[in-house]
Amino acid sequence: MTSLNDTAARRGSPHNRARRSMLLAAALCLAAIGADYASCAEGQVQLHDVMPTSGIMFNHTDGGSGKLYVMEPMTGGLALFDYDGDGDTDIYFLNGAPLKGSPLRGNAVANQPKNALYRNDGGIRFTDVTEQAGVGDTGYGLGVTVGDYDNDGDPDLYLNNFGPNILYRNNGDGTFTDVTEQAGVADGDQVGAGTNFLDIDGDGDLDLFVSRYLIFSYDMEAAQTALTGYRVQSGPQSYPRVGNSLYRNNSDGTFTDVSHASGIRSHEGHGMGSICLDFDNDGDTDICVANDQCPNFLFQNDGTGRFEEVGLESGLAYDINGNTQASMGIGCGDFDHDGWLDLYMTSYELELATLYQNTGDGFFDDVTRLTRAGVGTLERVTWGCDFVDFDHDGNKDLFIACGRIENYIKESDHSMSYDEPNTLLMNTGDGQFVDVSADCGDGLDVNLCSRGAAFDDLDNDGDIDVVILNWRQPPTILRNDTVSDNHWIRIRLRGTKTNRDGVGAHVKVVAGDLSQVAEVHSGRGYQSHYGMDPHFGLGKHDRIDRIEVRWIGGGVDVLENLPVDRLITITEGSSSPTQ
Amino acid sequence: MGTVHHQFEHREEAVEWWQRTLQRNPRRADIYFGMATVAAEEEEYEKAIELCRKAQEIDPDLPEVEHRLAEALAAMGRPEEVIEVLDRSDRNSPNASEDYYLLGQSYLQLRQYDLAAANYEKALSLRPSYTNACYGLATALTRMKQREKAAQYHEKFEELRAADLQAVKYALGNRAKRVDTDLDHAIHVVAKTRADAGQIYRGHGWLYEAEQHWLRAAALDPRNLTSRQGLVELYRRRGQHEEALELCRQLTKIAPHMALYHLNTGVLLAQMQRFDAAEQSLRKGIELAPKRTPGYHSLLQVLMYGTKDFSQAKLVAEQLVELEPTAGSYTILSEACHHDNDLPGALAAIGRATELDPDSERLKSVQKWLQEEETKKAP
Repeated sequence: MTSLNDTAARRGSPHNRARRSMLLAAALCLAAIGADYASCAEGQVQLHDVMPTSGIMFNHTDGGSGKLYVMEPMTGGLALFDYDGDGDTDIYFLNGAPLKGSPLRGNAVANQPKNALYRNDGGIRFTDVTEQAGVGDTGYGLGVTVGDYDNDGDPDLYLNNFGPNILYRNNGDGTFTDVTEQAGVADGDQVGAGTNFLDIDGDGDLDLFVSRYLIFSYDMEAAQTALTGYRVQSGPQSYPRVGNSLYRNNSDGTFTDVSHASGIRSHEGHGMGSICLDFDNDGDTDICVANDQCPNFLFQNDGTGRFEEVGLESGLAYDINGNTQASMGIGCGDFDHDGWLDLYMTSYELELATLYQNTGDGFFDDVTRLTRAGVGTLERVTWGCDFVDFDHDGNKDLFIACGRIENYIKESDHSMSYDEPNTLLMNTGDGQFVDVSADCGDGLDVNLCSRGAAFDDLDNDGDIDVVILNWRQPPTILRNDTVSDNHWIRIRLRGTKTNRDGVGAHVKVVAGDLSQVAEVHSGRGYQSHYGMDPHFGLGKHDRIDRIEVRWIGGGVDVLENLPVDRLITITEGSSSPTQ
Repeated sequence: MGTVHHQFEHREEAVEWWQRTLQRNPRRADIYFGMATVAAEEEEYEKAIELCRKAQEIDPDLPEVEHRLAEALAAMGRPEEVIEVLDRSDRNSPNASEDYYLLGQSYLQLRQYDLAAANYEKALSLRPSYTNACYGLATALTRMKQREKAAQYHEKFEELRAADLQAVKYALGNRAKRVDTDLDHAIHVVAKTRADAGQIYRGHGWLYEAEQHWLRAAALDPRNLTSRQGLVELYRRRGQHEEALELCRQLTKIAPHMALYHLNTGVLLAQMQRFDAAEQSLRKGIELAPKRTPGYHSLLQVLMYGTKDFSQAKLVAEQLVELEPTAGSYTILSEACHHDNDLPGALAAIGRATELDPDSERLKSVQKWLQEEETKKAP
């Protein structure tokens, strides 16, 4: 219930007093017990595992029956959003569902695994409100996104399942209604993946992109015997590729399937994570799809909702060697401050998670080796990821969720572990990343099998916390306890002519010599949703010279000389923020 | 034993054995190379770089070190250094196409697209089915806005990729053949172990035992290089020139791109007074490694004292001074010019030699003698 207090982070505010206390505590800790300086140093990112005190009881299931169906290890994503508009970030976890042969199959609905909504009560304490909110879908959850598709001021929820998808309309009173049928967005009976709301044609409402993984039926052989002698899931190559879906919003609560007309369905792949971004800075929103073991897609929008697939020409379809990757999640951010959004894609073991630098002329360069952004990923299977400035130094760091998919990995290879720690690569600000996972507190010691990762400010203290969905295990909640005097700003957009949440809007923040850009994205990372309010670390800059918001459709608002360390709201057409 | 462990991916054990070997003989470049390979396999690229450099320091001619070093540097995101290493290389290794590819990748990352394209093209000329190089070339051409040509290579890349996938499927579908592959692999490993054992015995002066191990290795593996190299050296020293020559011929047949084997053959043929054949082998060696000077020195010996083709000797000596502008090289050029009746050339060359080594009394006396010769010839 605690909204981000506009005075909270001013110098001398309780938050800063708390920080000074922590600094003092850190100094005492060093003096008293001679602790490792790195673990207490100012500016060193500290992520602490607060799951045990969070009140969250969710436990993920993949619905497996021992048949090792292909979608089992792919589930799934999660969403961070403020469903009740009380000013703090709530969590929605996707869950699996009993697959054919599962002992849970056929149980009463009340006993089925289901998705879960946890309301944030402040202080990173949560209450399960799934039942009262009416969002306990028992479908097989793979991807999720959030967007105000009916522009009524509250966030709606879309689930991309194995099986029919679900659109939950937010009633504005803490409850949701399943409106899938009338909206026409069930998307058949497919194996889903990432999904996103975006405005494809600049008409002011949110359209819907739905990625699909592959064509599946229970009579296809599910598993195969690996060279190790153990049974493993068949990879996506064993199944036919499939085209993705695009639905245009008719502005009356219904959608029209424009998958073919838009050019999206002309290309078939094995879709996983997806993100909608304006990669060419031409004012409209393009779509990027991470494909598993086949070339990634980059659908370039002509501004009217027609798309051309330019993955190969742009350099995004393959890594620098021309190899396809088992691409999983997509992170998006301007890591090098050149004003162009870069992309980071996670992948399978023996492949580097890959950093694609947007060169600004329609191309992406694989700069993974040059920047060391793949360090520590080669021996891991990597999933959720994104660019996050954990220490507010103005440079976007990389968080990477890791976890294997083979049940018998340890039996077949003693050097391997089924559970893996996650990875944090710090952006040093000179085009390089450094693996600091070992020095980040107990949050990075958590050794589970992670999938979707989501990033937002759970405790409204200004820094970004992390929530991770772990496969067949409870989730992980990491509170960011970094001690730093750096400044920050979070910006909430309110569209008036364009969509209500400003999805697709481009935000530029200039503070002294530090210039950064971000966009509002619905659906990102590994089949997840989070971070609707762009967040910027500002380093030592205690004033913002200029914020420029370019809304979908081309309208631009400019605000100047702004204070820092707060959440501000910028309403389309207004020259001053509200707090 | 280290090699055997490494072949079976027991890296820790391999390194332990290799370290023991280094305790006995710290000048084993091949051991450092093996350890560099393990380090690279474990993604410890800085260590791999250090070990490669150590191996190079001990034996600059050890095959594949430059390639491995370049690979490790590339993995560390240091394209400028990759270029520096591979530009020094004569591209005479079995990895020539990969070296050109690495150069292409390095220039691509440095956004020097024309140089990237040129190197990818060289890689493709050596290996037309090189899928990665084809993709690299398409990428470089795209960035150079040569859209039509880029589209052609993108198309070719997709064809090659499809063929690669087909090949992988075929390989997976033929697991039964694995038994044969395993046997071949085992023979290869045993031969390598025998060859390494031979080197250890030679190091301790037990030449008979070394010979027996090398002969066995060569018999087991018709492509084993180490054993044949060892035998060549052994037979050459014993004066068993015909046996040495046969092994040299085998080496050049197994690895025709290796300059060293042609040069060794040439030197051996020269010792056997077969100067025409020696000249042919030495020229082949120089062609493969045009920047390395030992081949020029040997060829000059053959031309001046064997075939006595002084005009050719003068040309070769001129190439030598370009590569190695030392007092010694200019002295050889001077001698070649003199033999070719080019007295002004001889004087100019010896003059340059004395400039480079002004304290040499011998050079001064040669210069004086040549000046007197010129005076005598003056009208």
